[in-house]
Parts: sequence; C-alpha cells; structure tokens
Amino acid sequence: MNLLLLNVIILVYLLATLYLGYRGWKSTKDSEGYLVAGRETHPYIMAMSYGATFISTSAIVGFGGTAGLFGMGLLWLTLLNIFVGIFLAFIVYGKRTRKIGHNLNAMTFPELLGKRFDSKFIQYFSGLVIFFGMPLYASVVLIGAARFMETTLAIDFDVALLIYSVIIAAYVVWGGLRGVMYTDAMQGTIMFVGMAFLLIMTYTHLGGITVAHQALTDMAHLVPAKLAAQGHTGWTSMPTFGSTWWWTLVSTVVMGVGIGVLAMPQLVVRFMTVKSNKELNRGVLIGGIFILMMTGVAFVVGALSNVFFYQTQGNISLNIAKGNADSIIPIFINAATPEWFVYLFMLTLLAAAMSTSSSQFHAQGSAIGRDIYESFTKRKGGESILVTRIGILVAVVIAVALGYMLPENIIARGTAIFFGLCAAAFLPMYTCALYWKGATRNGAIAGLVTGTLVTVFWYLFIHKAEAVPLGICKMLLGRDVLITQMPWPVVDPMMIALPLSFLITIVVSMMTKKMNEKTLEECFKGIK
Amino acid sequence: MALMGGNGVTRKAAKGQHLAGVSVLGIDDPWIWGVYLLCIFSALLCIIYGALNWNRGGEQEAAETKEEAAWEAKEEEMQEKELGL
Repeated sequence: MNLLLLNVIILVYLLATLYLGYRGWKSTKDSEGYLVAGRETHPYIMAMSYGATFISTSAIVGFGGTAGLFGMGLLWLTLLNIFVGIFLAFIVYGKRTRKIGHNLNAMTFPELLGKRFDSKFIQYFSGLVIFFGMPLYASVVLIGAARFMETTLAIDFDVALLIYSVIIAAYVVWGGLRGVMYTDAMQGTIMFVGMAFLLIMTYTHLGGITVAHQALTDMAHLVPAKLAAQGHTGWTSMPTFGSTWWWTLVSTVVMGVGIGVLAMPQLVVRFMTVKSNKELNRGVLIGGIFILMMTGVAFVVGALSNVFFYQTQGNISLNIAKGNADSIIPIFINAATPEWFVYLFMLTLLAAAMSTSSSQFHAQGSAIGRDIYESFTKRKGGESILVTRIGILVAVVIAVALGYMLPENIIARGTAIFFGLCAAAFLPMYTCALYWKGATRNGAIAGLVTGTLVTVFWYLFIHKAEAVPLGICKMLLGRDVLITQMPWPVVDPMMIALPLSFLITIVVSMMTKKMNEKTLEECFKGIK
Repeated sequence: MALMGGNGVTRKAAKGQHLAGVSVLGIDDPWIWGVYLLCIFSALLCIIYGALNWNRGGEQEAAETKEEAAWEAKEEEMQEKELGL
C-alpha cells in the first residue's frame, strides 16, 4: 500500500469538500437558503447533485455486487433509472414540482404535499415516515463506503464507519443544502471519471466487449445448484419466469428501486432548487449520461467480475466474496485494477457515499425541523434551523448505530425497502397532487396511510426475506409467514401497496369534499 | 454454499431462452441484450431531449425571482417580529 499517495489524495479531497461546504455556509443566510439553496442553482450543479445523490455506494457497491450474483438482468434497473429516474422524473414530475413548490413557497417534500392538500397531518406524517424510514437507507450507504475501506485499507470496519460519519455530519450541519449541492457536484464529477475508467479497464482486461460477454454467457453451467434451483439460469440470461429468483429481481430490485425513485424526498427537493424549467431540460441531458455511466457500468462490471475471478482464481464472484455480495465489488477492484485506480475508486465511493448520506441526513433533519417541529409549534426561522441541525445529528447517530447492527448482504435490500416504502406512501398522493385537481385532502391522507401500513404489514407478515429474520409473525402467530403459497412470500410489498394506495387515493377522493377552489388556484397558478 | 453446481433444469431453461434469438455482443438472451441496448438508447433520448430544449423553459424566471425576493423580505420581517432578531 502506497500510504503517501493515498493520504495526499484523501487530503486534497477533504480540503476541497470542506472549502465547498464553507462556501455554501457563507452564502446560507436564511431558512430558505438552508433548505432549498435559495432556489437559484446552476443546471450542471443541480443535475450532478441530483445524480450524485441518487447514486450512492449502495448503487455501486451494493447493487454492483447484486449484479455479480444475479447477472446482467439488473440492467433493467439501469433502464428504469434513466427512463423513470431521469426522463420522467425531470420532465413529468420535476417541472410541475418546481412550479407548484414555488407557488406554495414549499421548502421540503412533506411541506409541498401538506400545503397542496392543505393538511398539517400530511406534512408531519410524511415527515415521520421519512425520519423513521430513512435511517435504514442512510445506514446501508455508510456500510457500502465502510466495506470498501475495510477491504482496501485493511482497517477496522467499525472505525471507518465512525470517522466517516463524523465528517459527513459536520459538513451537513454547517453547510445547509447549498453546501451539500456544491460538494455533490464535485463528487458527481469524480464519480463519473472513476466509473469511466472502471468500464474501460474491465472490458480491456477481459479482451473486449463481445469476448467478455461471451465468456460470461459460457459460464451458465457454473451457477451453484442452490441458486439454479431457485431460478438462476446464468449471468447473461433472465431467471426462470415466476421463480423465486425472478420475483426478487423483477419485483424488489428492478421495480421497487426503479419506480421508488420518483418519490424520494431528498431527490424531489432538488426540483425545488432550480429557478426555471430550463435547468430541468438541461439536467435531463447531463443526468441521462451520468446515470448510464453509474449504474450501467456498475451492473455490467459486477456481472463480469465472475469472468475475471473464474479466469484468475477458478471460482465465481459469490464464492470469492464468501457469500457476501456486498464485498464483490471491493474485492474485484482491489484484485483487477492498478493501485492508483483503487485509490481513485475509493475516492469515487467516498464521494458517492458522502453526497447521498449528506442529502439523506439533510432530508431527515428538515423532516424534524420544518415538517414536524414547525407544524406543531408554528415557530419559524432560526429556531427551526436549530431543530433541523439537532435532527441531523440524531439521524447520523441512528444510522451509525444501525451500521453496526445490520447483517451482511444488506445494502441492496435495505435500499429497496426504503425506496419501496416511499413509492407506496408518497407516489400516489404526489402524482395526484401534481396532475389531478380532483384529488382531495381525505383521499391523499387515505392513500398515504394505506401505502405506509400495507408496506409495513407486508414486511412483517408476508415477505419472507424480512418477515423471517424480524420474527414478529412467528412471535404473534407461531409461523414464519402468513401465506406460504408461492409467489406471495417473494412478491415485494410495493407490488401490492402501491396499486392499493393509488386506488384508495382515487376512490376516497371521489367520495369526499373537493378542495377549496382558492387553494387549487394558488397551487396551479401559471400551469396550463 | 455448494461450489460449481450446474443443474439440468437450469441449463434446459437457459437453452430454451437462447433459442429465442441471435447472439448480440456475446449475449444470447434477447431480454438481456435488448435491455443492454435500450439503456444506451434511453441515455441518447435524454441527450436529444436536453439538446433540443437547451434554451427553453426560462420564460417565467424573472417574475418568479421577484416574487421570491418579496417572500424573503416578508419572512425576514416576520422573524424580526417573532424572535426580536
């Protein structure tokens, strides 16, 4: 290990981060500046910030490792990431969110929904869902970064986790969103360069695109018997239709995360930071390329790691990583690329994790400060910023504590759980808020509560992967899951909770009192 | 976990899918090479959309900025009153 080179790289990076955080802090004077960056953000900063927040170590290490396990079928998630996460999110959701957010002078996602439906309940309930749901996601992002440091630097996982969390907490607490977005954009740029190198290196090492893919295709017979019995057919083919493996890939990994992105609070708030649709139009171009280079590369490289390990060590990735998919990418990078690149990539991951973590903590802090504290006390300004900052610190402590407690193979699953929860709880209400004037307060509340409760119920009593380790179903009813008949134990909660929540929102809206015309007029001012 | 397994059923299923089409870029399953290409096309779609609309959508900027400056002044005034800052 070249300690001098490593230390110089990290030092330069941290200094740049601190400088940008300081610049953000200097220009953050008021509550609006702290929460939505004063609504004046350059399109490059906005799109890179969105992208860097969207893509974290969870996507690169966690889902990259999942691709090492499932194969290239994960590219369906990349397709959704680009088409739903960028194209639809910016054009269909982003533009209206920006305009309505402006019309209502909303600073956070829950506040936008609360003001649109004229309901304090929606604001603080959404704030609570975010504050209690997000720590799991925040925690797996930290785990992703710490796992890479553990492998690369051979340091203790627990120590890496702690040092890293302290740095993030410091600059989110003092910088506000503007500081977060400046550093995000720098981190996005580093991530882009790192992933581009990784793709070129992997394909070159394995003899070119077609040769590398062909080698992976020819490895189908090496799928472990246990996985093959669950429907795994190889790394360049889809799992057997309707099998356990297929349901997990399609319903949890692809749909859960691919659709959930539309209702992620820390991403939606970014639409409220730009001053016009022009920035969003430009953001589509930058975001599309960025996401392809992030998840597209991570999933292809993750799958191809099998070829590399088979050719060099005679074994598939999962076995090399001793069954922990979270370790596949760190081990691959360390084994297959030169030392300078390992450091660059560690920086990439550090950047990816920092940008996502900081926004997560920012979202959780503002959920407490703005959405819960302000809703109840009606106090604004300096005091709520203080509560937001305390909320951020609490969120960091919870995430780090979870980081120590969570098991292996958790990164992709933890991410999918939070994305699925957000989709089911917020997406129906959010979509109706933007596009359907007939949606009522009671309809939105009914959908929000249904989506949240059905998701929680499904995880506790039906979905085997969580119900069994949590053990609540076993404790109350004496059996692992409520329904054992296939495919229910492997169907992701979002597949049930999202349509149900949509249905309830629409039906209840049609049956209850319409929204006040004046509120609607104010919301939709300037929207044709 | 069992090492290199291999399973008759699996191979048969994989073969069944392989028959569905030609091999593209070393990948036999059309669901996989299809999505590989779709990812690139969807990124291209984003590039084309962004390029065509590069300068559109900035029309309301001036009015909105003005409106927000007024809100900010109002908020500051409220803060002064409430907190005595």
